[in-house]
Amino acid sequence: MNIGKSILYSALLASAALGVAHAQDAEKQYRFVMVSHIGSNDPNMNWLTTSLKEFEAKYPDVKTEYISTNNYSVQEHVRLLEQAIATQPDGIAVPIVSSDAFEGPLRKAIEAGIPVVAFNIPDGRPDGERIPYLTYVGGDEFLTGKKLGEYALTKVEAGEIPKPTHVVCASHDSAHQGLKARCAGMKEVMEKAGAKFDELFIGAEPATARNTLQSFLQANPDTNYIFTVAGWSSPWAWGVANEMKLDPDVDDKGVTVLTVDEGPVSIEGVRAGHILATNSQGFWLQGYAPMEWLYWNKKFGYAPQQSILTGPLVINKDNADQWATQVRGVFGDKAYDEQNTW
Amino acid sequence: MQYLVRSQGFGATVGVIAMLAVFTVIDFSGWWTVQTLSNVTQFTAILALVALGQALVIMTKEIDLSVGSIYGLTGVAFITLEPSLGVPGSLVVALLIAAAAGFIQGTAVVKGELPSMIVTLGGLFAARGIIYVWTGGSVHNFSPDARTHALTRVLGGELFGISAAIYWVGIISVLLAIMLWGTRFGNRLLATGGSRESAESRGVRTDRVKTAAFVLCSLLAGFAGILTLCNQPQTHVTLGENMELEAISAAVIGGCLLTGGRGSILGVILGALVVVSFRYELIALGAPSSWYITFVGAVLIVAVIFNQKLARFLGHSV
Amino acid sequence: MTQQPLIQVKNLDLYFGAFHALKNVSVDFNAGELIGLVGDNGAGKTTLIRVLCGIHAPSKGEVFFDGKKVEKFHPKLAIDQGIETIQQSVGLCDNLSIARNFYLGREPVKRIFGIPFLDFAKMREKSSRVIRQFGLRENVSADDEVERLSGGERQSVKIGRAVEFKNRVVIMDEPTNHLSVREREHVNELAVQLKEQGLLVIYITHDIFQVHKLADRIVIMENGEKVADASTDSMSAEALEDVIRQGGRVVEKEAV
Repeated sequence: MNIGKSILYSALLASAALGVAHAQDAEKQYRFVMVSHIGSNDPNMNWLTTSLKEFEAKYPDVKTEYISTNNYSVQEHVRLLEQAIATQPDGIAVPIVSSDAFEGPLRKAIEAGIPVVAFNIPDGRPDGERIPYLTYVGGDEFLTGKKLGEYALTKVEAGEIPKPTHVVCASHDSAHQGLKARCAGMKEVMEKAGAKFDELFIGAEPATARNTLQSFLQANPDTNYIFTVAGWSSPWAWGVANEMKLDPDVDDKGVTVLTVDEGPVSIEGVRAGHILATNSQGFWLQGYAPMEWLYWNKKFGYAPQQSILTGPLVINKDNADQWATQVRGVFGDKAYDEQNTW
Repeated sequence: MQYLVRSQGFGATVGVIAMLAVFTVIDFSGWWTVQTLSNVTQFTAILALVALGQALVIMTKEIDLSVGSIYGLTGVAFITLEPSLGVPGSLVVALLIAAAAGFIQGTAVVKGELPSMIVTLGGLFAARGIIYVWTGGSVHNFSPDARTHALTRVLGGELFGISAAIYWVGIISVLLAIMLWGTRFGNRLLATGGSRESAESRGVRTDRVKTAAFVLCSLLAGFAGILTLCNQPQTHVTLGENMELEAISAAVIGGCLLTGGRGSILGVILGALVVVSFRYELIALGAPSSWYITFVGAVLIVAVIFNQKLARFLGHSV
Repeated sequence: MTQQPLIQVKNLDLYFGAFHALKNVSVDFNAGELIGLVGDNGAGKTTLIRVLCGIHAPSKGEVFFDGKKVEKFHPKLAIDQGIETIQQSVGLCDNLSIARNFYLGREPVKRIFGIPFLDFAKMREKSSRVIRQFGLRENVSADDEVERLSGGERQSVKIGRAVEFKNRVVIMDEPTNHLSVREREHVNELAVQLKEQGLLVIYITHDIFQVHKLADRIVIMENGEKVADASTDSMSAEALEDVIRQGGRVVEKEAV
């Protein structure tokens, strides 16, 4: 009874608030919503939110909104998406975390005339079957693993790092298709180079992850490459290997660590010589470009004819300093230093 | 011998001996190495601390699902407050936060007469939420000065090649055993779990006993979080995620009956050893590590059945 | 009696939500008396006792101990006032030894480096002596868990405990349910012994005939009200049984 009432009240309040917001933004012609899987608990969110801010500055007639949750689940994400669609925005940018779960609401939105751009994660199905979104803007997870692997092999040839014998791909989420694709890209390259390859689910809890990885390294002493598919887990991998005296720094012996992302942890890992390389998916562009395409589509009817790949770009010791400067600009010095957990 | 069989830890003792025997046979090259044992015992010590607190709560016939989040919150508080308070100051404040979390939950359970399962489930989410809000999603680093601070070394370093956590769990488990079996508080705690009504009829303030158990549980979980971070300061907002499941499993495998009033300190430590060893061995055998949780579940059920049969065999009414 | 009642209950009312559990109950209890508190299930006997023990606070009315009014009702009230309740299912923790149960709530301690540790030697020695005195099997030791005891032995432990702690009031709540005939007689003998030692014994039961043989006075309750309060000399068990049978209210006037 009471609960029903309070829901009703909050719905009324919310719609009243929205009404006010609309009134204030009268001069804004378009409203684009980014329904993201990256919550404020992931430093990468700053790339997207700063690029949205910059976009708003360049296109004053557009209002952008960034919606996400820290308690991530696909169900929660679908709920946020449905809520966003219900406010009838002029465009939606969303990662296709699960093509099954997102199909229904997105098709409905597209039929209702709301253009949709997939960012960060595409619908992995073939063209005819996939959700008919405008385009995909983002990296390619498979290429991320592959390019990093290929980069490592060029360093092997140059004699800077040891030849891979056994590669372990440490993943914190065994159900995440994107992470699996990163591992698969690395696997293709490394198996071709004659190395054994394993995918290891370490979980997201630091102590458990370390314990799991340590167990793996003890049971598989031939392992000499660790690829962590999240930037924040790279210090754990390095720490475990270091504790086991496996010499994980970048040199011609011991273990070599690779990671992903252009966050402070990854970049500082590269700069400190702990990590061979990381990558950039062009996160900033993944916030900016979808908005631009939504705008051009809405205003002029343009639609790109293929996916727009914003990455990967390998970050290594040669360009890490430049990246550090750039990321400091996005995060601010204080946040950058605090987030550097090395 | 008779005492050993009658003690609640007997099931876990048998389990550990059986487990070690099996591991020796199937993986004798990998198991009995210094590295493996130090890896397993280090993490066992951390989990055991959390599980010991859990055991105290279970012995009062309640349960605490929030330990993983409290472990995380305390650890994150320790690291986040260190720049302004220094290592000793942030240690004290972080532990106070843990104690407060336990006190609030315990009070809600006894004063609100609410099921602890629900209250601490709320605590699990609330504490995790506070971590996210407080840190903005990324945990700060631990400064090099703080890492070399004497107190940090005492909590996270090692002595004679054995990591500090193992000494700590040794000291704390002895203290807890003395408290539980040798003091008034322990007697009343066991009585509260055995029969709350009877304890109350003897004037035992079971509400206070339960609240104290929750506070101790949160303190131990928080202390375990701090030990982990002193040892390895690189962390994340996920610190302690799902740890409540492992801690409850360890306590139950260790012979704590969910019907309250019975448990064993040694059993809980052995229970933690079982949980951690299984993870190691599954990975060593090349099983996908996501199977681990399935195995813990299976071991848990087997342990519950075994401990219950054992209890019935000994004539306990469970 | 001219002496001041040990416990005096005046115009007590108690509600559990909408349920009126005690309705304007007034009773005097004197030291050295064995009082039978009789009534059906839900008549309010146990509720009344729980108020005396501080477990429930009355909604209205007053309770006096030695003429002093009780201001605050809390579970320690019973211990403070020297009240020992002996209930069939409550009072002993199955998971603890006899010695631990015996001293639960007032454990003796021995200080080692200033830290109070349980004084096991004392606990064991005293509780062993009492359980022998109150007729437990020879092979039962103070270190055995209570769950190994029979129903009568449990009652004996509780009664022994009541005597040992120099209580003034012993409340026996259905003390002989589920007991064998011999055990029942043993428990009843103990009740009379307690009274003879000058304690107030409140004996709660359904069985008017059983308690009439032991008691000095019978109080009958019905639907939360006191419907009879008479000495066993003035009313026979049969007359009291009639009171119960006829539902109290009508007979109340005759009984008073």
